[in-house]
Amino acid sequence: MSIEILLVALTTALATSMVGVFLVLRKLSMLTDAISHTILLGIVIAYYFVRDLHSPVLLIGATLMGVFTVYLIEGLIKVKNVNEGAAIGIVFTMLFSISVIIINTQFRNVHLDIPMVLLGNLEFTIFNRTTIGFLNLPTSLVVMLVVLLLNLALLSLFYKEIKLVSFDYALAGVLGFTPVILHYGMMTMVSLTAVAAFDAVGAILVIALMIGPPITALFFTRTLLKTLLLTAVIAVFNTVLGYQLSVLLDVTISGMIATVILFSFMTALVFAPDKGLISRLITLHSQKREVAFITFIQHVKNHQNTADAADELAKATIHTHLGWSETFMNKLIDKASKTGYIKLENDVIGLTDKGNDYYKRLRFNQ
Amino acid sequence: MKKMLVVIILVLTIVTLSACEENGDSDKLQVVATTTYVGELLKNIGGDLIEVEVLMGVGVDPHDYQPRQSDTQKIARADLLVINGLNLEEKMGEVFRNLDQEKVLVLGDHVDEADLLYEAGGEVDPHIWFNLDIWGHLALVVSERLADHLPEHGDTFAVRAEAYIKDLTMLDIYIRTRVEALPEENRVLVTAHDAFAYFGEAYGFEVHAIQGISTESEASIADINALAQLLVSLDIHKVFFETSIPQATVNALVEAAQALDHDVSVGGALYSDSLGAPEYGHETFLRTYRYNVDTIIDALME
Repeated sequence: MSIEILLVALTTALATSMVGVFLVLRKLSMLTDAISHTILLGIVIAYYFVRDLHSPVLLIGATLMGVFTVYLIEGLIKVKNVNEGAAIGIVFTMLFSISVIIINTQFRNVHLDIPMVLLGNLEFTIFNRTTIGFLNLPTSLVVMLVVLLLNLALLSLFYKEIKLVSFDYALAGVLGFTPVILHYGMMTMVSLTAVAAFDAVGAILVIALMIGPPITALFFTRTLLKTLLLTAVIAVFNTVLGYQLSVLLDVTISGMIATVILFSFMTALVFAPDKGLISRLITLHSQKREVAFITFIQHVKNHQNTADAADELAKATIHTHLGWSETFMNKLIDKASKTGYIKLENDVIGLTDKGNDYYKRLRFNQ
Repeated sequence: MKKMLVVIILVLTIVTLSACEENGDSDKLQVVATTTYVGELLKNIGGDLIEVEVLMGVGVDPHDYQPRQSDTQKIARADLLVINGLNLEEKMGEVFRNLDQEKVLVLGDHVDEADLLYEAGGEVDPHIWFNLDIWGHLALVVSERLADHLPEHGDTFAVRAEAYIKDLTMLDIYIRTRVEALPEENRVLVTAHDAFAYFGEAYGFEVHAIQGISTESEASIADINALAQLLVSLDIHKVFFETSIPQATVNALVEAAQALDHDVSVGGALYSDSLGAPEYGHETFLRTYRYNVDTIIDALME
């Protein structure tokens, strides 16, 4: 029984995180957040016609408004001077505030809000069931499975085209693809996936699932296929771990999964090889040492055989001229003598032949 | 790829582990109630013959209710689920409608249509527990339903329901005596959200609220100013908080009235969508209601 909740969570996680990869790559991460609010306008308009809070027409209105939202945003991005974030921000607030005003003026005393119509709870998904043939399954599971399969089918059919459009929009146009149609098609799928997932697991978890696993995966991979695969693995791992913790601590399942998503992102942020914070700090540190070394050699070259060499290049005073600490300086001098680039004569530093060659190579590279 | 394989195996192990469920059934009839009011009614009628689990705890606004992992188990395992209905439980109400109706009792469906109050927009007011006649009738409904499940204890339930209705009658008499002492022009109740219409209807109070029935609807500045004007014109000096609702809007109303040179203060906090807290000794319906009435009348008497 509780395994069914996990299955709903897993299919939702896979369906949403797959399309999430493209949202993240296209810098449209907050699109889902926008949809989660603008669908209220769809609900309000649908209610205006049917006047029934329990009518399925309200759900259709919400879905259509989700699609309309992404079209508006997509259209605005085409306008020069409007970037992705601004397009999302303006469409989101505009559509949402229109719905708030309509509710305030027309339906003041109607219990009209998104949770009433749409936003589901993982905890309750298993009580709303559908029978297909001899199988009796939670409705959300069936819906999310269909959405997942649809997403996977479209992804594998148009993989090349989607890849091209996601990474090089201009080239796609030159090669004769019509990126516009593909973009609108993809965004329609994003919207349908989002609205279906809202109903299954609630808005916050959908937003977390769409963005968290893809950005975590992007710390480790560079190719699209690997990103997609790793996203799926991370999404599944986060969902299962989050679910287990929610059982252990007896808390809300969606909240726990979203928390785990955050933590796994933070782990990647700090520990990922190459792109993680620690690895970047190490790179930064070694780069700093390298630049200092080059500066040191250059300094020796500049002052060698000049009148002030005895002062500028003396082992005891050189650090004051370069503005470094004595210990740091001594480390560099040690390193340079070990590699054989410098020699000491009466405690004055001078370049060896090998050091001169190194310097020439540096100049040449410049 | 190898790493991925390791992860997948790890995941599958956890999935299989999660398939094992604990089973802690007891012999008693397992009843799940949504709100504290419904839960308390059940405890009064069912007593030690049933085990009652309440999903929304004390002080929880039904609108903000977030189910926990174990709530699923409670609902799935319950022999009987009792809900307030009339949209109080929102989307969760839908969940209960999808369950086997043999196991579900929707109290709102058993209220006489003529007793229900509606908002101007046509939406039904779900705060039926504040009408003692309705609540007494629902005590009978609950006792009959429990008797269906435990026929051998049918008489016990019926006797308890009768006793409970007597308590409600005593409370009704108490309220009427107290209201009698309050000058008629002072019988105006201004609260954070529209939960006290049934109370107002029963005891002749004019009821005004900043928010509508749903705690989600937001009060506009115009709403608050209009209500402040009303306080001036009716010469009312007390407004009331509700324990399950943030106090910001009521404070805004107090300030708006003071800006009109009208002295308004907060008369106290009322229990609306949840029973009172045990630490104040208000954990039963009778005490909660009595506390509300005392708070309202003591404040308005001044």
